[in-house]
Amino acid sequence: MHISEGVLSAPVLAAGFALGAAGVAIGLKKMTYDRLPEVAVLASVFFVASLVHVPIGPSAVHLILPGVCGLLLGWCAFPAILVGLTLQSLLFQYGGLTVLGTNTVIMAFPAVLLGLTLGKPIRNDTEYVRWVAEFFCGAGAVFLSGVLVALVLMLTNEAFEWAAFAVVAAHVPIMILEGLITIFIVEFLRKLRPEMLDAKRVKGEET
Amino acid sequence: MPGSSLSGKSGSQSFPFILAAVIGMLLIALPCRAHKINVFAYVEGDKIVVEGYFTKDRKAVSCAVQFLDAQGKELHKGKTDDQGQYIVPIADLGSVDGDILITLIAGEGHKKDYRLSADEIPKPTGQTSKTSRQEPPAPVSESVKTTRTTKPEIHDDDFGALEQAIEAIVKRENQKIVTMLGNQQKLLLEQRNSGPALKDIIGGIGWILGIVGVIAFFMGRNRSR
Repeated sequence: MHISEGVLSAPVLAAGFALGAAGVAIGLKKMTYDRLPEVAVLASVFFVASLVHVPIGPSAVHLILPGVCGLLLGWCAFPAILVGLTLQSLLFQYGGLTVLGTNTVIMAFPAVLLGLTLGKPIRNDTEYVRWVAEFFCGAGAVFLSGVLVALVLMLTNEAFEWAAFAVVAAHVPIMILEGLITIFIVEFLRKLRPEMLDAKRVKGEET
Repeated sequence: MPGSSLSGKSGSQSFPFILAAVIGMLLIALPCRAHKINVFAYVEGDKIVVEGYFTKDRKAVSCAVQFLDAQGKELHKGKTDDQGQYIVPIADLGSVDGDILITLIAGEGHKKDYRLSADEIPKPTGQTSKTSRQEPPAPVSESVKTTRTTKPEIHDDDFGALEQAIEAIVKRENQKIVTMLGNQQKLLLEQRNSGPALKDIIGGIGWILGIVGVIAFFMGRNRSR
C-alpha cells in the first residue's frame, strides 16, 4: 500500500515527514536496550512480509503485518516500519524516499493506534474476546492504512475524489487474511513468550 | 501467569482451526492490486514498445501511457492493451531531441516513469534517407530509360537502381536483426526489473541487523558508563 514518488503534492509530503519524524522520535524515546532485538525482528518481519508474494491464480498477494508490529512494539513500531520501508525503497524501489515520511505514517500510525487500544482485550483470558481483538487489530490496521492512503490522495488531488477509496475495497481480502494471521501469531506468542505481550513492555513504561 | 496454561491448552486445540482458516483464505483470496508497478520501454525497429506489469504474470492492462520530452512537453498519449503493451511508431512522436520520459499511470496513486535515453532512439533516419533516396531516382530513372532504349545491357547508370534494390534488401534483412535485438533488450530489461530475489531479501535483513547492531553499540556504551 505504498504511494509512489511524484504523486503527492509538496505540502502533503512535508506534513508526512513532520508526522513521521514525530512518531519515530516517540518510538526511539520508548525504545530501551532490552527491546532492541524485538524491534529488529519485527522490522525484519515487516520488511520481508511485503516482499514475499504468494501467487494465487493470475495474481499475487502479500502480507503487510502492521497489526502485529503495533501490538508487540507500541510506539516502537514507527522506527521499525520506517526501517522496513526505507530498505524496501532503497533496495527494490518500492515507494520512494520523498514519500517515505507519508508512507511511514500511513503504515505505522494505524498499527500503533490499534496496538495500544486493543492491548487490553488481547490480554483477556477469554479466548473468543482475544480472537476478535486480534482479528480486528490485524485487519483494522490494513483498513485504516487504506483509508489514510485514500485521504492523502484526496488531499493532493481533488480529481481522485471518492474513487480513492477503491484502494480500501481492493485490500479487503488482505484484511481478512491479516486478521487471521494476526490471531495465529499472537496466540502462538502467548503460549511461547507471554512476556512479549506485557502491557507495560509494549507501552514502553518498563524501566 | 495463571491464565496462560489454560489458554495454552485451548490455544493448541484451536491451532488446526486457525491454520485451516488461513490456508482457506489464501485459496479464496481475490486478486488484489500489488503496489509495485514496473514499466520499461525499448526500441524495436522504428517503433517504441512500452510494457507495464505489476508482477511477472500480471500485466498493467489498459493503463494510460504518457510520452514527455526532456522539456516536459507531451508528445504522445495512449493506453496499454490487454498484454500490458503499448506500441507507437517513433515517427508519431514528432521530432525528439533528448530523452523521452514515459509514464505509466495505473491509478490509486500508482505511476512509474521510464526514461528512454536519446541514444537508444534512432534518429528519424527513415525520413531523411527516404528523401535522400528520392532525390537521385529522378535522374537515374531518366538515364535508365534512355539507356534502355539505346542498349539493353547493364549500364553504369543502372547502378543507381541496383543500389536502391540492394538497400531495400539490406533493410528487410536488417529488420530481422533489429527485432532480435529488441527482444534481447526486452529480456535484459525484464531481468533487471524482476521482483526481489531471495538474496536481496536476505540482504535487507542483514541491513536491519547491522543497523540494530550500531544502535545497540551506542546504547550499550551509554549504559556501561
